[in-house]
Amino acid sequence: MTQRYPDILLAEDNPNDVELTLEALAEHNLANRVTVAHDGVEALEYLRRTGAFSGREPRLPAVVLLDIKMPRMDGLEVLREIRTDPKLKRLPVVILTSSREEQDIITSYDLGVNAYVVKPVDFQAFIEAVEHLGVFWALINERPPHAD
Amino acid sequence: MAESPVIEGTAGEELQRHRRGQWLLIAGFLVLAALVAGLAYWAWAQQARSLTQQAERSLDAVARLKAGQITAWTAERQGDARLLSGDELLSAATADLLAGRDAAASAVRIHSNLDTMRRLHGYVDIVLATPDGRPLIRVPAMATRPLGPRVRALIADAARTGEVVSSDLYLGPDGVARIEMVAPLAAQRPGDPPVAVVVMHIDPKRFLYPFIQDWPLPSASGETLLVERRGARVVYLNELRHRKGTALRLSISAANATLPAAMAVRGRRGIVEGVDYRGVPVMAAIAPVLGTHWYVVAKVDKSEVLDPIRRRGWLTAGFTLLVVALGATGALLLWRLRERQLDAELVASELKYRTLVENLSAGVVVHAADTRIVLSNPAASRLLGLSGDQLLGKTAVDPAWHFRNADGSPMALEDYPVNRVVASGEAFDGAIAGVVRTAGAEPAWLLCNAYPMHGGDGELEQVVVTFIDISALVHAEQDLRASERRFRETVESLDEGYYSVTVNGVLLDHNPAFCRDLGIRGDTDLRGRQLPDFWVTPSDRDGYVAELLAHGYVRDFLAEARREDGTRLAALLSAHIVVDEQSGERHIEGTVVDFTARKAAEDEVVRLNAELEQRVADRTAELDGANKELEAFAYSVSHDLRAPLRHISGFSSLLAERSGGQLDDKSRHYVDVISTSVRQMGVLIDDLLQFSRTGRAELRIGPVDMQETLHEALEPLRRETGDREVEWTIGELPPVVADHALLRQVWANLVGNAVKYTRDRTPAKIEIGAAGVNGEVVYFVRDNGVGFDMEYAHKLFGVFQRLHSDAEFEGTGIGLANVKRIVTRLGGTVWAEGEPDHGATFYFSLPDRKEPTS
Repeated sequence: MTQRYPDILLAEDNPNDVELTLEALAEHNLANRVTVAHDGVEALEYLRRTGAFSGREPRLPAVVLLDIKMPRMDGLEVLREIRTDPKLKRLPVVILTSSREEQDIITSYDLGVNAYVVKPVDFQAFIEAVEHLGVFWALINERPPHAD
Repeated sequence: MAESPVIEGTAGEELQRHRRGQWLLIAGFLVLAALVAGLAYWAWAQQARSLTQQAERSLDAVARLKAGQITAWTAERQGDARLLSGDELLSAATADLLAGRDAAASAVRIHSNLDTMRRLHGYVDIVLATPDGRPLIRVPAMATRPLGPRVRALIADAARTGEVVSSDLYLGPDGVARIEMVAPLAAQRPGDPPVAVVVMHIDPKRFLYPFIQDWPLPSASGETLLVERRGARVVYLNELRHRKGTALRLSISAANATLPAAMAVRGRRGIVEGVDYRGVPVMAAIAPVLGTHWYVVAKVDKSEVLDPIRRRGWLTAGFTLLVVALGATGALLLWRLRERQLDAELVASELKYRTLVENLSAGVVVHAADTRIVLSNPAASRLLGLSGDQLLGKTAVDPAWHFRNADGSPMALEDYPVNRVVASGEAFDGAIAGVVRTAGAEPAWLLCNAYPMHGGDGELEQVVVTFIDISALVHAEQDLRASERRFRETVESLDEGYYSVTVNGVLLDHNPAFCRDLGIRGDTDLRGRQLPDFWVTPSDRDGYVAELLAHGYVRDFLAEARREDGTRLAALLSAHIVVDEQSGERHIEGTVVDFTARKAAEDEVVRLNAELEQRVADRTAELDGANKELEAFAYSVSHDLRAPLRHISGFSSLLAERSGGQLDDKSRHYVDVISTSVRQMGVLIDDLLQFSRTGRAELRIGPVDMQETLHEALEPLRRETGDREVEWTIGELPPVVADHALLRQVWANLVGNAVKYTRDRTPAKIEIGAAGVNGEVVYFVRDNGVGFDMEYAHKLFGVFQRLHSDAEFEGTGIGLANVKRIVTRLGGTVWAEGEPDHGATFYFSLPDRKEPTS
């Protein structure tokens, strides 16, 4: 029996950003369906149900919000892994980053990202951006059929 | 007919041929005439033979006729004799007479009987005689004379045999030719001797001679002879036509070879030819008379037979001659006609050729054998500078006029074309002669041909000299020689070794530098020898040859070469293949430069360059490292600096939210300040990042539509100025070849500034335009804003440099620095003009690039 609640995987190493993001999602009662991975490796382990997540229920999130700069494995690397994994390749991924570097944007789109969002410095703008993301991907967007 | 001295035209040749044909014609005519004559002769001979045969047949017929007649006549006479001999009445009467019984009556009976016989058959007389020869009765009645001994012998013969006996034709005692026949009168009783004999005297003149002489055909000379042999002679028995008194008197030797009568008695028969008793050539036919030893010879004079033949011969000959003469006349007439026609053609032809010669651009002069000029054409006058009269020797020639040899020396008289031909009798061509017309003048150069014309007898008749003006050629050749000389001098003085070589490697030419460079000593004229093999490395030579063959030339081919003494040099070789325009043969011309010293210098340069490049590479690597660091720094700024800012902004907001109404005004103000500062810091970081990127980003050069680029930049600005009164003036903006994205930043910055600094102007006036200046396009943005003091213009484009406080106009001081950086990177310049409170104008120029560069 699959749960009706949409899941969001947030890969973010900075606890301040995690807090602010969850704060923004809480506005629409999305915060309690967010799983946080603290680096790329953890994010992949969650998605593939390996390591610490080997016991979790077999269900993919509605969207992955991916920071680029993370310890151990960065967001672009995670994105590449997802897109080359037959079970994960259709998973919606949104890059949520501080970087406005052209090279990062190009690489992300080349790897097949679904959206690229620069975290606004201004909090109000940040709140709005994250809220929009959460609502769109978790509630509005139609999820791809499960591979398994 | 006019003589044609010069021209052997077709009509002339025709005439010559025509004349040569004369002998052929005559020969043909003679053959034809001979044929006609032969034919005529043959016809005549046929006729002659036919006539002769006719004559022969006539003679033969006459001879046989006569012989037959004589035979018949003699038989008749014998018959007469036998009739009398068998007459019993006569016999009885004679017996009675002799017995004397009734003698007179018997005598009368006998007389009557005999006389009847005599008259009936034309006997001269008939005598009844006794067997012993005593005449008894004679008719006609005359005195009987005693019978001659010849008769008596006959009587005895007849009495003895009881047969009729006849005598030969003989001359009686009276000298008259006669024949006697004796018929014995048979006795009453058989076996008794005859009672008497009857002698019948025949006169041949009466019957025999006339019909012998009678010629059945009209003939002037036809004659019949009756001959017989007596001993060794042939006797003519009858009277001859052409000689009288010959009967029995004429006799000729029977051995006479040509006498037809002699031939007859010698046994010849048929047709013979001979000479008769008169010595006249005759044609004769011989026939024997049967029952006698006589021969009839019918003869006719040969002339009588031959005369008509001759006449016909003459007639035929005459006729033939007439035909031949007529034929000859006709042929001659035709001949003359054709000749006249050819003459007319020759005249026309000569006129044609004369016109041709007159209009020929080549000069033609015809000399007689004594070198006197007999004909010349206008071109000759023009080329030689002499009038026709002068040429013909009628008018004196300028004494300075003479010929020159090709080398410019005066030509000896014996070398004048006409004299050469007269002396040698041989034609020549291609002789060059210069004509000096007046003293001191440049000679006109002629190319002369001359040839002799010989008459039919091989004697030199005329000399024809033709010539054309080749002055232009001669001058061109002189120019060519001068050019050649200059070329030679240049080549000789060249510092580069020059050589020209055949494809087989035989040297055609070279200069001293060639010997010097290849270290050749001693004999320095190598022409005709093999090009020295100076190659050290065979592969060099192969490469050189291959390139030469492939392209037709080789440029600056550097190879190691060997001098004659074995030392090495660096040789710089260039060569190209030259194709002779006329012969199409190829040879190679090339240069050799001793490059040893320069090669060393060049090697040094190469080494230094390599060193320099290495140094540059090192420096570039260092610079690349610095750039990398800068990039890393910029990345950190963009990422790591913004995160704390965001947190400050976020948590201060959350703090204000959570505290809600508990915060007093002052505290709320603090939170606002924090928030504003954070936002400013964000903008500053973004601007810095932008500035950093414009320095690092790769240029994407391409055609840029400036109008469109400007509007892209204007879009967000127009939204900002939505509630302001702004007068926009946008002029023509020519397209440019540059980086589109960077130019959009330039426009955004400059127009953004204009919008910002006209904030308190109503209306604000912003003018955007462009102007071409010295191959560059200068774009500008002019406003009526607060302007600036030109004293500080130099600070306008510095990073973080500002002429206004943040309180007046917010800003980071990076925008114009960024503009300057971009324009500079695009190869342009940026500058500004302004006055405080009176607006400012910002200019930037861009080079007018035509081609996009990578």
